[in-house]
Amino acid sequence: MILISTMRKSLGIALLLAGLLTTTHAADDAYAAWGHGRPQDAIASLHQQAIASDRWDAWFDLGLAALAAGRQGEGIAWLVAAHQRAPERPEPRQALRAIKVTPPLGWLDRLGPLAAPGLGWGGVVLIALAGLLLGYGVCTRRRRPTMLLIGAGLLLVSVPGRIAWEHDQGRLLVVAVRDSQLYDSAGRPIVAIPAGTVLEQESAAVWAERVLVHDAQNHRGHLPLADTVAKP
Amino acid sequence: MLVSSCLAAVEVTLEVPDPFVVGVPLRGSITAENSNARIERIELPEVAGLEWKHGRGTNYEVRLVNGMRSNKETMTLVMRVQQLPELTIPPVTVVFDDGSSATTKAVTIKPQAADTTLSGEVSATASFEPATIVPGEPAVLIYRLALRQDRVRAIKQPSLTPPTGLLVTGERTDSKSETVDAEGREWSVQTWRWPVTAAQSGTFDARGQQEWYRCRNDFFNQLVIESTHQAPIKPATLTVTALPEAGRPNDFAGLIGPLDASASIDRPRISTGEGAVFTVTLTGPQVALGHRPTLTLPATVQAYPKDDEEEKPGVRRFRWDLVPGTAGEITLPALTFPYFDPSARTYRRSSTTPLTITVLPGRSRELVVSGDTTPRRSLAPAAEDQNVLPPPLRGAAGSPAPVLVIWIVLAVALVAGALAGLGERLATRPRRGPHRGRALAAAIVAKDLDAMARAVFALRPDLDESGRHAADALEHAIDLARFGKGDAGDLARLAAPLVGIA
Repeated sequence: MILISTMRKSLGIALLLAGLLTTTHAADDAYAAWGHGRPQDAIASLHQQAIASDRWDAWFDLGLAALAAGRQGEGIAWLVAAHQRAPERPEPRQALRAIKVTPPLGWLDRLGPLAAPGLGWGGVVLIALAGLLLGYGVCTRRRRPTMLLIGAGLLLVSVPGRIAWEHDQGRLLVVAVRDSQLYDSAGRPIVAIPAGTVLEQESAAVWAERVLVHDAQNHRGHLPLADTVAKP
Repeated sequence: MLVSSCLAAVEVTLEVPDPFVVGVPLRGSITAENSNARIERIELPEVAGLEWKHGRGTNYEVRLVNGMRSNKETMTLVMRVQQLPELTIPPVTVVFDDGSSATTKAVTIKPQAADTTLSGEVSATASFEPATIVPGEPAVLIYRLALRQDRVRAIKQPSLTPPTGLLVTGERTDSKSETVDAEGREWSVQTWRWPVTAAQSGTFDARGQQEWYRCRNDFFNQLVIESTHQAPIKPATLTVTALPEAGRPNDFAGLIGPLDASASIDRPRISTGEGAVFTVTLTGPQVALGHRPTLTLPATVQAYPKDDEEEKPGVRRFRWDLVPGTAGEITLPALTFPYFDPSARTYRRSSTTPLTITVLPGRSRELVVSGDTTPRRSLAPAAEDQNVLPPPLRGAAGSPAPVLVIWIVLAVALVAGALAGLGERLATRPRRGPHRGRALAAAIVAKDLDAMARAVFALRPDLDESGRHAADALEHAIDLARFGKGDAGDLARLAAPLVGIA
């Protein structure tokens, strides 16, 4: 029994290592093709990597590769995907700005530096400290007003950024990967949407293969879902 | 004949009778597709030799396919043309009720005399265009069926199919029109076209019988067959002649003209070690027969063939990844493709133009820093840097805190803090002494008068009025026993109200 258990564990570890090596190797191939001036050949592999890891930097690299390959619509869609997964990171925003695309303002943009203490692992540490101080201050025999005050203060400075981050991450942003149109509920065209336009989805519900969105000019209508799907 | 013009998303089409028979009023139409508005008016221009006006009725269709809505509005025109060799109808402006407008393209038509071949009730004719080809050359089999319109006649399907031995190279298309015969009677004409070719030389006959029906409309306007008939199809013959031997190039691969060959490169300036994609494009009817050409390149250039593809019928691309090993100018020589030109009945060649790639020295050089290495300008990013795409991260970015983790951390920290507070509270709890009542009882049992006195003294702070009386009586008895040397009496009875006090 012990032998079988050990063999299972070893097999599992070997498969995990093989998977990691395969992923790393595929990613290296993708970057090599890109480095040799063939970003279009890197897209499929980078897309696979981004789907598997769902890391913001994987989507970011995929978006850059698509832009380098001249696929503007898909590139913007994947950069917006990176921006949504890490709204606090400047890189996706900088890349979008470089191609004259501005994603809709989020709560983090509005909070500015006030959001900084609650972001990243530093925010986690601050909130943990605030929790410890508040829990201790409330439950100790003699109330410790200083501890309660410091805990509440830490919570106050860290929570807004965190809530804004979660709000921005939960936003539904879609990108028209090809030239499309907004339609009203009766199916009449409202306005043309050029490829690469970032729109905010108002509801996750899909109706007649279309989603309800609005653009920066507050044109509101239904966008064909097929025009928002970026494929490698 | 269909001519269309696109203005934004609106497509406006002018359909004229085909054939356009001289002197007979015939129906044409103008169709607007995918318009947001309805047609308000059509501005028919004056055309010498053509009388035309709006017909009766309009047809408006809305289609919903897979959630996609499209519409089509058709307005009828009545047209009559005079005997002319050729007539050009200028663009027709269609004005919509939202103020927008669209125009058709100019149409050139050739008026024809009435079709004298039409007689009886049904006329079925097959033909090939062209009637003579070489193997691989495209041709079209045309089947034209005319039904006289003085009563309802119909068919279920065309009886003619391409003869055995011919290769059908595309989808069958069909169209409908009207014509008149020599006596001025109206006929409806339906035409089917098959793109065909042949692999071998020989003759191919298209013939058969067309089944047709005399019908009537019932109460619900449905066609009801009254009788079934057969009509002979006027046959047609396609002659496929062998390709001429004279002048045939050795590298001829069966390509039939017209053929156009072109070459392109995606990046004319690259660095050593980088790659460029070289693409050769063939455009022609039989490009699927073409073979990947052999590249003659300098030894320092590596060529890696990629998958070739026929992106759409008639266009084929061959691609290579070229990776030069040294810097300099590399010339990609012209490539030639032989083909047979059916119009001239001879062999020709289509060539690409030579291309040049400039290869710059590689970028991987050692960086040597000398002199004053202090930056002379601010290291803050310049404004123009914002327009530069950042480099890929290659997985180097740190992981952000997962969404739920922070709230779990907050909850855990609160609980941990609370536990620490409670622990501290427990640790600093005041310790309570031994049970004073039991100590008194024990002292009585042990007859230890001093201990009894201490126990009563310890009990006093918590005694009520009756307890204090009991304690006074017990203390008096103890004092008597200690100092008066008298009998203390029943101390246990006196202490009874006190031994239960903790």
